[in-house]
Amino acid sequence: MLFNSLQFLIFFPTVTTLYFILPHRFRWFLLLIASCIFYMAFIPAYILILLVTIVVDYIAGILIEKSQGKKRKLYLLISIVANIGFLAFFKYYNFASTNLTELAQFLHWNYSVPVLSIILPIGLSFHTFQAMSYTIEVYRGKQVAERHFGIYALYVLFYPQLVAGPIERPQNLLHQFREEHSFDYRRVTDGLKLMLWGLFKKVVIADRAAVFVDTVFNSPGDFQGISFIIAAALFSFQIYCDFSGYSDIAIGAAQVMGFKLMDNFNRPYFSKSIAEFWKRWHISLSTWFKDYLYIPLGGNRVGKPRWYFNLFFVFLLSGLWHGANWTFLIWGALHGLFMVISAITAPARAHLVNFLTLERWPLFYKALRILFTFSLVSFAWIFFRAPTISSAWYIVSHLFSGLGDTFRHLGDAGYRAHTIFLDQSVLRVLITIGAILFMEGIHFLQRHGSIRHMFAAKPLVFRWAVYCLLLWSLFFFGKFGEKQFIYFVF
Amino acid sequence: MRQFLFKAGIFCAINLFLALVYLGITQSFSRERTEAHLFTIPRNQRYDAVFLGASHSRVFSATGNHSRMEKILDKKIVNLSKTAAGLMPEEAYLSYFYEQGNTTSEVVYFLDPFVLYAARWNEDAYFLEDEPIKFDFLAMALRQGLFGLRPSVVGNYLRSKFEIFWLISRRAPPATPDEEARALTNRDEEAVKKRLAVLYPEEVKASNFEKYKPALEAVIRLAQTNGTHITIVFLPTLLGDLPGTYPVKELLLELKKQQAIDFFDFSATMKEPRFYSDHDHLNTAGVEYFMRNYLKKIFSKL
Repeated sequence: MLFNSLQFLIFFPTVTTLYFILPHRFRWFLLLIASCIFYMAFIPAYILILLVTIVVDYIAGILIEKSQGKKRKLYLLISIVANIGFLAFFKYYNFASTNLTELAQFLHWNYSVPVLSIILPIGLSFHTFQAMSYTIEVYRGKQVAERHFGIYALYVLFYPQLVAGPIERPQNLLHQFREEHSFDYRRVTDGLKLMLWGLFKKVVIADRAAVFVDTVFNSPGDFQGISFIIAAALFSFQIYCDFSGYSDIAIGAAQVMGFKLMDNFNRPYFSKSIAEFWKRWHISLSTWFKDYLYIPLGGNRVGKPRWYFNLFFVFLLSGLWHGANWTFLIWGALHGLFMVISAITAPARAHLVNFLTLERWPLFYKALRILFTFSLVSFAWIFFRAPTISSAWYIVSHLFSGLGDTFRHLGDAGYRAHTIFLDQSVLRVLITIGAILFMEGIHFLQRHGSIRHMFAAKPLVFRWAVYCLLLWSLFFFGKFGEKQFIYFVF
Repeated sequence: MRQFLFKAGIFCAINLFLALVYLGITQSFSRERTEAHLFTIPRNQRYDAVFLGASHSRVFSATGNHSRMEKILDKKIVNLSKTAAGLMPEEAYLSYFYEQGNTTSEVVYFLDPFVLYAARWNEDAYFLEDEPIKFDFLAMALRQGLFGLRPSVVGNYLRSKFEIFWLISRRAPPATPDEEARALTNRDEEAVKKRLAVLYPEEVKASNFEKYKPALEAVIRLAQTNGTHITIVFLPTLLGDLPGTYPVKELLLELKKQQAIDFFDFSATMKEPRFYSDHDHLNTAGVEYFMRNYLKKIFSKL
């Protein structure tokens, strides 16, 4: 079930109302049933896969807690193998078989691996990682194994964050299912406002920007330099608004019912470095990789070559987590490279800043860093968005082609309409750019804290006028048609 | 919770009031270019003929064509043809036409075979996005179960009225006579291929034909129930033999035998590009030629 669908418009108020009407002891059951219905709205049979992993991890958690020594490790291993096994089969099998077959052909071996006709279960990478964090935390002794099967199942299936995160930790979420949440006016309205904001980002910015982005990325041969730069920058905002919009709706929906989910984004395009970007982008995933992979590998408390390897390896895996395609691997590798180069050049860059006395103009220096980081991130997104490596390479290699022509022909309306406006009407351009500027303006205001607190001090009439405007702008400027969220396929 | 429900109620009431005011204002907007029939279907009027069809017969009413057509045919005509409207939308319009107390002695359906092969031209009901909110139309459609009215279709119909693009399209200037008079110079195979891909978004399957055949029969039945004779016409085209035409033609010939409908196939006539603005739409000269040489003769026989 999509958050931006008519079904959800009925589902959410119904479940929330029932949640507050029912006595506390029945609420976990209601949420579990509701979450199953939510998930089964996609492909019903795939709930069985979830059920199997839930049973395995539930039993593994108890056995890990009860056991000592090597047995603990064995049970953890079984749980991880089961989770990774499902992920590998559904997400990576066809990718591996296709590549193996191609490699065999290249080596002139008479060998082929069959390609299976399977559809990736929605949000598989998300709930697999969330389930794995449970058994790992139990193994580490930081989480008590959950005895109540229904509560554990709800931890994995909790509908707001089931298909696209945030990827929760058991310490943060599990105990909340046992707590009684009464109806709190402030919390409920704050949650609804967050959902409205998330929906605005999705339908007004992400889905509108998608029209421009798709036009260019689906037929790159029809465009040149400036169009690619515009499309790459717009995709940066599309994917941010799509994914953070989803997270806002998820966090808001959970908040209405009294649950506190972790923040997933923190104004990422205001980052001054790639390292900072990853502290602000998809926080629940980057902290997952940090806690369960980067630090166990030694993190930065090892020799420099090993540290660089750790950085690169974690980002490479992060790329693979996103999708079984070389484009995602390259995207991950690029971020790994950015991080390694950044670590290697840190002293030299500090010298350069001193030499150029950039610290004297802090605002200029900050803006320069933000712009540079945004450019690097947008460059890497080209590989993330492009359907194949060859089309990504075509775009990258033509990124600056025809820029001279662009300046010469700026006065030509036909050229401008195709190259700058990417065959869309001026009004569509204005809506998309205006909405992005509006969002970034809000982000700028939020640099010292949540805008909600500032807003709460304003008169009621002003606040309600803003809510009405935001609501109406969804309809007037939004692009509807139940477009799926990008991260659902991961 | 009481405080929340109270405030939520007031918030909803304010927005509902604003929405109704907005809908009220937009009811008076013009529809010249947008083909929004629900703005213009009158009440208790008598017409000599009602035209049904998609964009190919919509051109009969573009700019000055409508008055020219009425003059040539010497008939009072209401043209309910609409771009991208297949059988189910046209059935809805015809039904609404009768519901408004209007009458006619003749329905001429300029049928495109492709409307029997895709949901896009039928139950997807995209045509509603162009129409204003008319609650009596919605009630009629729900009552009669027209075009498989689903919650998503109704939701889309209501929501689309609040889109900036809908609002702007109400004020769009009509097409200029120059646009309508534009003539094609030659037949371009590549353009024909692209056009066919648009007209046939789904595979030409017998199962689709079987699925939409009852919709055609329903249009015929609706006309006949209201005491109207119905004529089905295949319009001239430069697209060549349209996929899936044969079973449609077979069906129409069979219906002609059984139900006293009339059927005329002009798809092989008017092969000169000068009559067309593109490969499948007649231009002003084409419309006039078709009226004088073909449609007028049909009307004289009826």
